[in-house]
Amino acid sequence: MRDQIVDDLQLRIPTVPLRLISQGAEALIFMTNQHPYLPAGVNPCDVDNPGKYIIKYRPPKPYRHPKLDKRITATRTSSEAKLLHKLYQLGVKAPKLIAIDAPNGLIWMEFLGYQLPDMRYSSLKNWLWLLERESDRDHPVALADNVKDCCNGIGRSIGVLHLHGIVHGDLTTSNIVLTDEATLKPSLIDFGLSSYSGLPEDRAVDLYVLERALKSTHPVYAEKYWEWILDGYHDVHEEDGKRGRKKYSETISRFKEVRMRGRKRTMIG
Amino acid sequence: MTYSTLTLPQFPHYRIFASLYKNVKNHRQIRDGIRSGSISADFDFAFLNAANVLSLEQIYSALFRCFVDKANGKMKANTIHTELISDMSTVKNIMEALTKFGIPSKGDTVDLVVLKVLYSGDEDDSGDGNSFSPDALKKISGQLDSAIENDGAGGCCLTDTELESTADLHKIRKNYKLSDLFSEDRDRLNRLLIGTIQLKGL
Ligand SMILES: Nc1ncnc2c1ncn2[C@@H]1O[C@H](COP(=O)(O)OP(=O)(O)O)[C@@H](O)[C@H]1O
Ligand SMILES: [Mg+2]
Repeated sequence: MRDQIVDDLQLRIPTVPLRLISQGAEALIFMTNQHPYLPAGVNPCDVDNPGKYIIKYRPPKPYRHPKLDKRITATRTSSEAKLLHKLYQLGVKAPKLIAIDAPNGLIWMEFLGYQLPDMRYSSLKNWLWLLERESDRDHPVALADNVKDCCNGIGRSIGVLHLHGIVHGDLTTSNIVLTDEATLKPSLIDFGLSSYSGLPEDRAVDLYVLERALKSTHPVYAEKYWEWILDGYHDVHEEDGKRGRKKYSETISRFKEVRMRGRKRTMIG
Repeated sequence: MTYSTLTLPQFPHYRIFASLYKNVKNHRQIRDGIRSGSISADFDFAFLNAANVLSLEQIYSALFRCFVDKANGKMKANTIHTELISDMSTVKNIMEALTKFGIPSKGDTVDLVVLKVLYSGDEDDSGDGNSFSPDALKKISGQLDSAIENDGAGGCCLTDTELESTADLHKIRKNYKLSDLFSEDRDRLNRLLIGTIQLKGL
């Protein structure tokens, strides 16, 4: 099934070498060294890793009517691509949009991230795991200032999204990546479930999902990480002035409610 | 008579003739000739006002968009060259795209980017005989040199350095409707244009 999908895509773009790096419920992620429209020797301007690109592919769903399927795929694909462009306009770190073929479910974007010393990909999760392994009582490197700065940055990014009425929709520790070994600048990725929403509930759920993800993947230090993320989240709202402060308190009070609901649910369940 | 040929990795069967004509004086005559149909039918090009063009990457991006739409049966114009001009623009209306991004009507002299889509060898499914060959390129270049008056300078290679000298940031700001988003930083501006071109109409 999966091999068939990969083969079909490879037939569609035979001149593009594809390496499958991830398979989710909705999309397959490929890496390639081939830019879709620039010949070798012409580098795209202002991208982090020229010569390395991500292709996100939403294959056809065989159980849907082909016509309807094409339309749904095109809508989801273009909505994700539009968000990438929007975030670039807003100055939020996210993969830059390179190309899109909406009816065929294809997005080309900038590759973000690097290889950690343990050879893994620099997702927030992998990075924190690495630091946690290296931490001990005398040297808790997982709680060092650079982790704090990174967490602040994550909170700020989420804050800017929320201030502009965008919710990410899937804030996990795999959907946050470090983009630069020297600066540790974080970026959000995977806007497949993102949407526009003015509801405090949706922003609160965004935060809650991330808090839960941190607690489950990083039980020992999650509380500290979360505090730092919230600090950054708070600061961008504060800097936005009166409107931001109001939004912040709405979101946070709803967040506390969502948390309570979550607790009750786990107590019952 | 100098020109470049562009190829896109993902669409290897297209070859694009590309040239930049600076200080063109008879642009109105060419424009009127095309509009009235009095110019011969094989004078088929995408003429772009170079003022709106910041980089080669921007042109490649529009070519990609054009070929993707063609492959998907989603072309909005009746010829590939009109489609291409429309794909460089932000506007839906094709006439308006031609006015803002095609040959300008104003100005004593203008700079024009000229593109022509050719098909490599056996893949010529266009039926209009626009096959790629070194002879075809020479012929096209000659055809343009004799039709375009720019003090005998002819065309030059399409490079980022050349385009930097002919781009007009004020026009770009206005025609791409950037207003507050506008940036003097060319790299940023370039990415804004590429995103806009990729997402147009979606
Ligand atoms: N722009 C990118 N740069 C580098 N890696 C990426 C990029 N986008 C996705 N990935 C990798 O692919 C994985 C899955 O991509 P994602 O967009 O999160 O899709 P899914 O919806 O399947 O989770 C990510 O966790 C990451 O490892
Ligand atoms: Mg993901």
